[in-house]
Amino acid sequence: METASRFRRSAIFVALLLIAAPRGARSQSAAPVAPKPGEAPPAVTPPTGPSWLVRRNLVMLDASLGRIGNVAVPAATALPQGPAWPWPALRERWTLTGADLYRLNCRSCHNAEGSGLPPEINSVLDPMRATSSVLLRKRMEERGRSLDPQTAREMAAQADANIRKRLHDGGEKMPALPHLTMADVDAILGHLGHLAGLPQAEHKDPRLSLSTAQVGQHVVKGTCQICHDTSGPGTYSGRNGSGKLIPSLTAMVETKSMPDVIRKVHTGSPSAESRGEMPLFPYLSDEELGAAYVYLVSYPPQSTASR
Amino acid sequence: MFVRVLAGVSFLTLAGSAFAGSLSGTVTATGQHDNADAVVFVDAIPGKTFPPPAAHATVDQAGMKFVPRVAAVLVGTTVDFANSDSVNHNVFTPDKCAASFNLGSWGRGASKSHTFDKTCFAALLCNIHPEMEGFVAAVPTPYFAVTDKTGAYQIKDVPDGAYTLRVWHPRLKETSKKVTVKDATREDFKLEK
Repeated sequence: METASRFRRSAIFVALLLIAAPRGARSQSAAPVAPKPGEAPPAVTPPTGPSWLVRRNLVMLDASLGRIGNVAVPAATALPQGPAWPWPALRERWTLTGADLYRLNCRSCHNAEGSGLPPEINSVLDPMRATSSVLLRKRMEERGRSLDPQTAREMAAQADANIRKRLHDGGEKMPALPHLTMADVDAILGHLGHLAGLPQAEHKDPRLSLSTAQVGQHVVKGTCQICHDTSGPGTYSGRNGSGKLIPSLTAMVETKSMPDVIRKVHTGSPSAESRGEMPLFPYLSDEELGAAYVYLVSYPPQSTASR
Repeated sequence: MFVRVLAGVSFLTLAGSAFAGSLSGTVTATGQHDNADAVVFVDAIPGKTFPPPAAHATVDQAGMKFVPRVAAVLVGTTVDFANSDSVNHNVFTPDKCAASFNLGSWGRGASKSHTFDKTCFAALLCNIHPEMEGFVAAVPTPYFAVTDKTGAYQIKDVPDGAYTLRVWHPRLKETSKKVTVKDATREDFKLEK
């Protein structure tokens, strides 16, 4: 058992050496700078600081962030048991769509349809519809009013700027997502346009070519870090230290192998009746979770000094 | 003696202007869900102008609605558009009498303003939430009221005199009538499509 575990760890290490981003990239990104909206951020930076729940003064058990539609899976439900040896071979280059980026960065709070969980989690559909001058003019016509095309375009552009700013800065509860590049945001808005029923001409469906570390960064910063601090012992799931400890991402990669992490994300906590408090993420693939693990090992989370 | 007469006259004048009448009554909004949201107001009085109030009026956006749905103000009043919802709201109007303003969008706790500088019945819309609809009625005199669900209205402190009383409603045809206000005066209206 001990030998098997050691073998497993060294195998991961070898795999990581092969897959992980070059060390040079890591030292360059040691001091992440938050880029302005519309400015291209560095491709990959380590995750920093506490979880978004902590930053937004929320606790996991009182909030739905990061876990809508993912809780209360009965213990008897058959779930994938995580990858078996050999573990998923990670690609070097990935081709992702806006739907993929939405899944990695938005879905854990806004669900697959974009409807969220009002009033706690807003729908993304209304603000997205507001970016369509075609829909705006159509609505005005239905009211028997007219709006000149120029004004409609200006209002749509304003709504587009708002939604981009929101993605970059976050909100009262919403995490900020400054790791998204312009191309990422364009692709996500393309998918939101599809969800919100915008006319075909008003939304695009680009393909993005990403590295493993970039994919891992989307998973970690867009999903895991909602509840998990990046370093330190972690934070409890209830108010005033009640509930269970949500371990930090550093603690996780230091104590668990890649398959263990993948298994946990797909099956929750197998020991508890409720499968524990960890929500399940069946929509994240083994390989994407492997990329998250590689990213965390290649770009170790920094201290919570920025708290 | 002369001084006493003057004093007497000025006393009477003061008493005359302080002793104002009132207008009240009921508006029936035919075919509507209830009789609320009709704006009853005294039309412009020749030779009289009214300085706009320094205090701002407020229209909130709460529970995905404009509150109040119909706000009546004196021309020149600045209206603050607040947001009590957790979502961002936008406020714009397609109506030219309110310069077709578009105030952008903002979150909870913030507010933006517009000064209504002419008589106007402006539809308020939110680009983000198309189901939202409100109105600002900017009217030429400070003698106005908005009906409640029963259709009742009351305009206090209207100086005795002859006026044109107008009634505006978001969905129904506007109407007006000549009225003479003396003490407590009652006027009822029936609005139709």
